[in-house]
Amino acid sequence: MKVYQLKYLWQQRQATELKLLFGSLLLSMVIISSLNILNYALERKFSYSASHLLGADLILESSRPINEATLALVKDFDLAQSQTVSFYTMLSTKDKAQLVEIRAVDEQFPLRGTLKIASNHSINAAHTPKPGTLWVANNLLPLLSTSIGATVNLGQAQLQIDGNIEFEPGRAESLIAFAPSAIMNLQDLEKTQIIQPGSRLSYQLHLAGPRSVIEAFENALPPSQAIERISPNQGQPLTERLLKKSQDYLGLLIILVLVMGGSAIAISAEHFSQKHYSQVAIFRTMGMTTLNLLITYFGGLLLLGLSTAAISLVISYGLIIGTNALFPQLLNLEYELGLLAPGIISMAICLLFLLSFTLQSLVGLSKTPPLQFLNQVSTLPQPKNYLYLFLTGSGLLFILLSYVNNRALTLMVLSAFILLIAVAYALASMIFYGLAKIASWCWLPLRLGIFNLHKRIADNLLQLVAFSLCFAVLMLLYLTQHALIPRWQDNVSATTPNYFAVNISPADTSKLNEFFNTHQLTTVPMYPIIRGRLIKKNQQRFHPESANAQHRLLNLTYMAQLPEHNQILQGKTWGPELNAKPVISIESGFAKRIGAKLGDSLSFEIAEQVVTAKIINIRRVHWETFQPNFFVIFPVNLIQEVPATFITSFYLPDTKRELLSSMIRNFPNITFIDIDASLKLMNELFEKIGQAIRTFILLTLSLGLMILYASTQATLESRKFESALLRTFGASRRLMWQALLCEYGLLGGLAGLLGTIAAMGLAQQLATQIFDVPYIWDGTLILKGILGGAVLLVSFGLWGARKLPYTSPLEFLKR
Amino acid sequence: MSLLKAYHITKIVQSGTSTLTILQDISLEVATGKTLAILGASGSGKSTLLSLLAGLDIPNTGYVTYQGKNLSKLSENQRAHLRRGKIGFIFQGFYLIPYLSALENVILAAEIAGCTHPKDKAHSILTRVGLAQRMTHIPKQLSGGEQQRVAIARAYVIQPELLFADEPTGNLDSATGSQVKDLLFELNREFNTTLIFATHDPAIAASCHAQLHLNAGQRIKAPNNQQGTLAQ
Repeated sequence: MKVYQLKYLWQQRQATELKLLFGSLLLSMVIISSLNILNYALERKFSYSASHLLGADLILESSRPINEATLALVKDFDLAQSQTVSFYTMLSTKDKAQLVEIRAVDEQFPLRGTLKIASNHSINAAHTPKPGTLWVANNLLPLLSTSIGATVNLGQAQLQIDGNIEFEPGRAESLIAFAPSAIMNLQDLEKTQIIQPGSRLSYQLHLAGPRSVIEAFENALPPSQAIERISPNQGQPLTERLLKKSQDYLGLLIILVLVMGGSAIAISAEHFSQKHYSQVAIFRTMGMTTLNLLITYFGGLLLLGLSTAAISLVISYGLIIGTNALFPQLLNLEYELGLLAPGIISMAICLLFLLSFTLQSLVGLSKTPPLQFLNQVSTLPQPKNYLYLFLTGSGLLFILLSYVNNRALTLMVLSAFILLIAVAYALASMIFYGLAKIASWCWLPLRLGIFNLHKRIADNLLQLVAFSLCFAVLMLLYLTQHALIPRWQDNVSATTPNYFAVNISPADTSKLNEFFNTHQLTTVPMYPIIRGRLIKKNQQRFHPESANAQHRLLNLTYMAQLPEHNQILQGKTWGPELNAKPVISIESGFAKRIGAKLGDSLSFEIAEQVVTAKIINIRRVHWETFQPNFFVIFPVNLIQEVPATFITSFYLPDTKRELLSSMIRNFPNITFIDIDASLKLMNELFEKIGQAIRTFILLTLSLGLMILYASTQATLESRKFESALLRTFGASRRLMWQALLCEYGLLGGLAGLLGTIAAMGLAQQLATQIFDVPYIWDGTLILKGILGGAVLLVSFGLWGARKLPYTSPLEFLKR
Repeated sequence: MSLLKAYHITKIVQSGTSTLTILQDISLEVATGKTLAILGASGSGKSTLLSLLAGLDIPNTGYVTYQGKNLSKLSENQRAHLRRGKIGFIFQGFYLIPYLSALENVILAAEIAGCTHPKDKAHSILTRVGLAQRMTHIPKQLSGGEQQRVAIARAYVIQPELLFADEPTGNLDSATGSQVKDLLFELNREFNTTLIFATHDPAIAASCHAQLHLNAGQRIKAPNNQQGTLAQ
């Protein structure tokens, strides 16, 4: 690229269309980079919160002490570590004995989150009990008829109860607990002399460190059947799903912004080309070749793209880092190299995005024949080249697929927009031609408006498609914010269970139900739970090195009817007719993880027996319901002879919290698990998504307005000449305002109609595919769309063309 | 020696389902340093002939040679290469780049042609055409005559061998038109440029070495019995 080419481009920096091109690119990229960084931060925040619930970033669990090789590897990676040993044993006082689950912990426990211990009427964060002391779950004291300060026997050791466990990280992880828990110091373990050859123990190595180091460690750790890995999201399908939903939603915003930003850029580039045809023709007469021109324009574009990308990155990081500094609780970002990745990706995407949407116009411009100029037809648009359209489409698709994880969502939204473009184009052509036929009977300003629509039909169709897209996006954001998310939130907020009751013996079920009824607590049915281990698929043992989820102990259940919030995706219905048949129903995510499909048979080891059953249906489970959910469901009378405990969940409002102690007293064998922490995590997520949407709706709205402005500017030149002509004939300013009003009103109303219908169709799809809520059609929205479209476009159109009725006819007729 | 030759050129365009013959069997020859006026009413094919001679378009039959090279055998980009630094244009509508100053418009043309010291050359030619005081003005701030002078300076800054002028005085009043005409012929003498005009202006035609009259795409004898001769 030569200096004069750069100088030529620099001279054009004041051109409106270049400002619009720069503005739309900058705005798109700021939104996209911020969303991308936010997405990354949300993911981090989630892992962080989930780590706090688990107590670590990763737990390695084994029935034998963790081997030396693994410990050496942990040291190599410089990870923080804490060791615990868990086992079941009897805890006794002089008069009573109770089975407890003991966790012996070292000084570092917990690595993440806070262990909360209540002693002497205060609740404090703690790490490990002092040697010789013990902390116990709050239901253990009534079971042993003892109190804080008393001494209890644990094996050969005597330990003093020093506090009640209020919250124990990792405890909510397994909803099934056979016995109340207690925490002791690892140093006391030996003196209890409980560990004997053959004892069933669970050794856990808790690890914490930066995410990238944990990931590298996991990759370096050789797969082993002996060591099970527990990561923060594993076993918390709810957290996983919430994260996925929020990512899907951010992905949707990115798609919408890219489509709108792309439209704004394409319109500005086309406008730029239209204005430069005659200049390019002059350059051609001076001997500039297509290659010279391509180098000039694409070189300029590259410089524009690079500088915009750099500016947008600075703004995005400024926004994110500023938010992080001002509200450290909100994002909790750790500054590592990982945070640079979304920025660098955004920079590359920025260039590809710009190139994709300007290719057609700039190649067309560079190929302008010099002859066009001599024949005075310099404003004729270049014939469209489908190759470039295809390249633009491919560029957009590539960007979307690399940005947005949910491919089905991406393709659905893109197809909807392509359909909208086609329908808008076809319908508007018919309407414009139809209106032109009846125009002669219309009121004069309306007639002029219709003539204008018809005369610049190619420009107007382009404008209409752009406006419709713009409306569809804005309306979709409105619908998501006002119809979908609140409904989704309603699903989980009102009386969502915040407590689980587990380890309910069959004898206790009716008494507990009675208790719930007496105190009018909202509850869900009680489900039996049987522990089982998945061992074979289609009679094939799972490979020892395959994903550890396959070997996990599972909570199995049996029932005659599926719970309401379970939806069968594939296979037969579930009913009492299946009683005693060797069949199962499995959850879709679980099916995917173990690679099972309809008709496969799975074998489980249940109470030392092997039970094999065929998968007859695959279910979707709505995890947000916070009800007991099961990966695998058996029919009744198949595994019923195996002793089971029961599980249920219930909603305990803040006003009835005092009932908890009476529940613990009345049902000392039942473990009550507070899942308020998970609920809080979810509410926090709703809040964050809400904030993100509120911010981005404003930014996206400005992008939409930029499209409107760009499109109205594109036809301004040809309007100027016509206005001058009309003024020469004596047309009043009033008539010209009225004609403009009619033209933009018709165009805006039509765009509003098409955009609203497209948005409603898409919202219906999003309701079922992302939010799992029913979508309620609202016919009045179409009217609001038409009206909104007309008002918005009239305001913008008139503002853009505000000088037209006041320009001197002479000034233009001289040209 | 002939700089430019046209051999039996015909230009036909498709208009809907019918074909329209814009030019029919035109031959001519122009020697270095000579001037030729192409005359005719609107729609007679003047501009089309000019575009064919300049290699902006190619004829359907026949061919044009420039310095012995057959333009029909060159691609548009090869023809552009041939034009660069050798052929200049002046148009009725001036077509200056609106946001560049008079000086910048001329410099840009010199830079595209690959001239050395483009700024000095632009400065000198603008002074030569009488715009020393108007160099920093953008086209909007100049009168029609001044804009055409900038266009002339832009064309002459590359010291072209051949210059095409399409109705150069068409947008100007008669006094200004006459000044522009005089300037063009003065520069033609100074730079020994071959000049080809498409014009209605009898004063320009009279000053040329030769005239070629067109009527409905065909070459005719001069209406005033003045034989349309080739500039030899």
